[in-house]
Amino acid sequence: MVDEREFILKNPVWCPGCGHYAVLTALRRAVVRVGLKPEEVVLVTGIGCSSRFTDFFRSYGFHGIHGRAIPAAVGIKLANPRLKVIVANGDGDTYAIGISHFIHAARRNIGITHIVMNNQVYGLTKGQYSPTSVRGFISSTSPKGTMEKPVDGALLALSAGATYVARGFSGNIDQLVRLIEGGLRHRGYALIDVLSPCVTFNRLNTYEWFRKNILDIEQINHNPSSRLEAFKILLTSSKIPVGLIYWSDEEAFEELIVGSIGGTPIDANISLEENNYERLIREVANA
Amino acid sequence: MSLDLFITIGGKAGDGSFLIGDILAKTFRLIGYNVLTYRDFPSNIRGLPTYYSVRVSDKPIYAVKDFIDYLVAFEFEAVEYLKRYCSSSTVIIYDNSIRDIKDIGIKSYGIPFKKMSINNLGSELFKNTIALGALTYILGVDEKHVLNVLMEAFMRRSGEIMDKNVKAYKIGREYAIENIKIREEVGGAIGREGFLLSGNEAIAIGAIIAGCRFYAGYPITPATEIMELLIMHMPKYQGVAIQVEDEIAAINMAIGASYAGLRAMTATSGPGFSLMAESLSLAGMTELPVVIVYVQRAGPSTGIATKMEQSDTLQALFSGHGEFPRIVLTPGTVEEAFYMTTEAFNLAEKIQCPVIILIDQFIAQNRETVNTIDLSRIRIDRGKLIISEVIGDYRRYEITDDGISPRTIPLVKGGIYLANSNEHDERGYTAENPWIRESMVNKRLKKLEVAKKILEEKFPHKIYGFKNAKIAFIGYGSVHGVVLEVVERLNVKEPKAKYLQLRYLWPFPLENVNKFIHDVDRIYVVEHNAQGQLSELVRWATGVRANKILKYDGRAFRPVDIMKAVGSG
Repeated sequence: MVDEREFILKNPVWCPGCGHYAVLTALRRAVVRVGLKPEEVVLVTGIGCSSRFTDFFRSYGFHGIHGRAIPAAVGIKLANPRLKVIVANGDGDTYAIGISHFIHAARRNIGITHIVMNNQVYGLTKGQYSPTSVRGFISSTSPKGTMEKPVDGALLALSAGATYVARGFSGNIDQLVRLIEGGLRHRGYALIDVLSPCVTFNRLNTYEWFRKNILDIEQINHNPSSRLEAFKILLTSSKIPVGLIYWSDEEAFEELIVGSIGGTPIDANISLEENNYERLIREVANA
Repeated sequence: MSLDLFITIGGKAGDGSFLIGDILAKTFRLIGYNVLTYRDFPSNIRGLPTYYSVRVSDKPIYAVKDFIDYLVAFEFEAVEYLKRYCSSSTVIIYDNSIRDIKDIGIKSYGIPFKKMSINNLGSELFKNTIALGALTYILGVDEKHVLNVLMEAFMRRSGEIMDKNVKAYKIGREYAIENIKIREEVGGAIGREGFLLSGNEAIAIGAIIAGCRFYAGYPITPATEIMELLIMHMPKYQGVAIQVEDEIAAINMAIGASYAGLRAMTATSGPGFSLMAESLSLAGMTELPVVIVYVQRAGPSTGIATKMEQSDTLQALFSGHGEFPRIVLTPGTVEEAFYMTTEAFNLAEKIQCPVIILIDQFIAQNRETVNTIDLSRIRIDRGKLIISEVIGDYRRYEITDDGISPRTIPLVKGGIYLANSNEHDERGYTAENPWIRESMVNKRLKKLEVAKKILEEKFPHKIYGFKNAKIAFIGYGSVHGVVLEVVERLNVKEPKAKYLQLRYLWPFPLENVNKFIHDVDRIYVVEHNAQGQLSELVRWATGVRANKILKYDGRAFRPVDIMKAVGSG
């Protein structure tokens, strides 16, 4: 039996009180609940405070470049669909520089579990506003307050065709474990947008603020299997909906790929002797 | 009897010049000649001028000729534009359905292709095949060879289209028999085996044969055919080839697939490569193998997408932040592009670094005769890859004598590590200590020494001409064929020229270049760009200033251009 300690590489170092501690703990618990082993998990991170995950979580890891964690994860998953591929990054990585990959991952329904630690601020570069900062947020690069509308990651994912859309909160670790576990068990792309307060650079969206401003949709009668209901709760709720917003069981991209090429790419035989390359040469040369 | 003809078919996009150009090229290939196709076409689908040239010879050929021997023109504009490439011995066959050409000073024959097509076949669509009939008669090509290729070209079309094209061919041929008195003697089969392949085709085949099982790309001229071919053929070998959202995604997916254990590749042109630069540095830092095909085109910015240029030479060598090892291979023929692609994957895995195959539109999109594809010459060597269990203490980035460390892939027991874009320790975990930093930089760069040894063995730089010649040429890629011809011409009377073909540019072959230019009177670096990037690189490395022979109008050097530049034209 695998236990959480197997997924501990070292103790995390973030600012005391950072929301990311709870997310790391929740992820470790969730992978154990699903019964995964460190060798079969690939954790892919981008750049930012949240992307330090790969230095603390013990598994195969890929710490890529800013905004490009998703495509690296897609390449890994397509190469070997037997791997459990998890992306852990932040709101800058996902909703700013990497927003295109995020949308395409959702519409492809690629089998990766994507945990976005959304603290509505750029922490590692010391406090600039992010695409999820609330309008009017004052920071070193928005001295008069931001003038843009914030990105709603859950709403974007849902419109792009995501099949698992959840939002968690670092202040509710039990729910977070369940949401991540659900994502790990899901076929296809799963987004878990986590409200994860930055205690150093975001003095507005604090734990207290969230406790007042979130709505736990598991406490109301929300039906996550209805896309229309999901849109409705995201568009009409005066508070931030937290919980499983949408879920649908659909074929994952890698399943379609494996089906179309007749097997798992990592198992392909590349031996020169055992492939009929003469045919390939003739086909291309005579086209 | 030696044969060397240069035939150009000119019209507007949509006239079908490419179709009959292809048929002509394949027919010559079928007969057994060496063939080179050269396409000059716009970045547009219909209505603008396009020129398709076929050079056919009994010698190996990798360049265009000085002048056109036969020009088939569907439009007056084609004659206007191409007459600068004609000589007093050129023969023009043009469509005179509208009017005759007068006083052009070049021997011209008008044939009403369009009118004949409309009158006999009910539409002008068949004028190209009528022209093919006339042209192949004039060239003296055996009818049965042309018909074989023609019928194969229309095999997948309806019976009516096939019949009409055969009829069109015959109409053209009959017309020429009755009205045109000149005749070449290409004749029947001289029976040489071989394939007709473009660089893009050779690279796509080479990648699959090398065991590449992952390709991600984004359409971009002139590299797109590589993706199209791989999407068509890779699935048969259980590989993934996909079109993705952009070039940044493409290279990151390739790097991810490589991390997971597949041989992975992407291909692009200048604009896409610029986007990939940051990720190139990622592959360097994480020491993950990846192959990038870089098909240069005329820049800067969008430039001219369908034209050749070597103006990204330095970008291929130096783009990407920080210092990391890379290998830049520079095939000069389609055949070399094939073999170098197969070896690129070995190099990438052995050295654990990005390998760039640097070509340009000329090699990528023009077809050449490839005499043999010898699969027994190819080996798969995955270097220090571990796919079974690791016993004991595993350090992915272990400091070793040659800088290359053992590499595991996910699922390997005991092989857990972090591929980290941050500076890292031997296990891959983020580290900023000065001593770790320094030893890791050294470790990564040291790998280039191993690369150098392999490259010198696999792709020795070739020297052509006379060893002790006083005129020295240096070039790479698409200038290879033309410089070969120039050196041959210069050496007809006395041995005075030699040529160094650089088959890889990085690691820079300093010793080879130094040795080659030692004790020569004049050095010429021939390249398709405006600033002489290779020439400047040679100066930077050797301290020697070479003469620059440059061309950047998007069209291929002709031998005569270089002869003039060296004062022998």
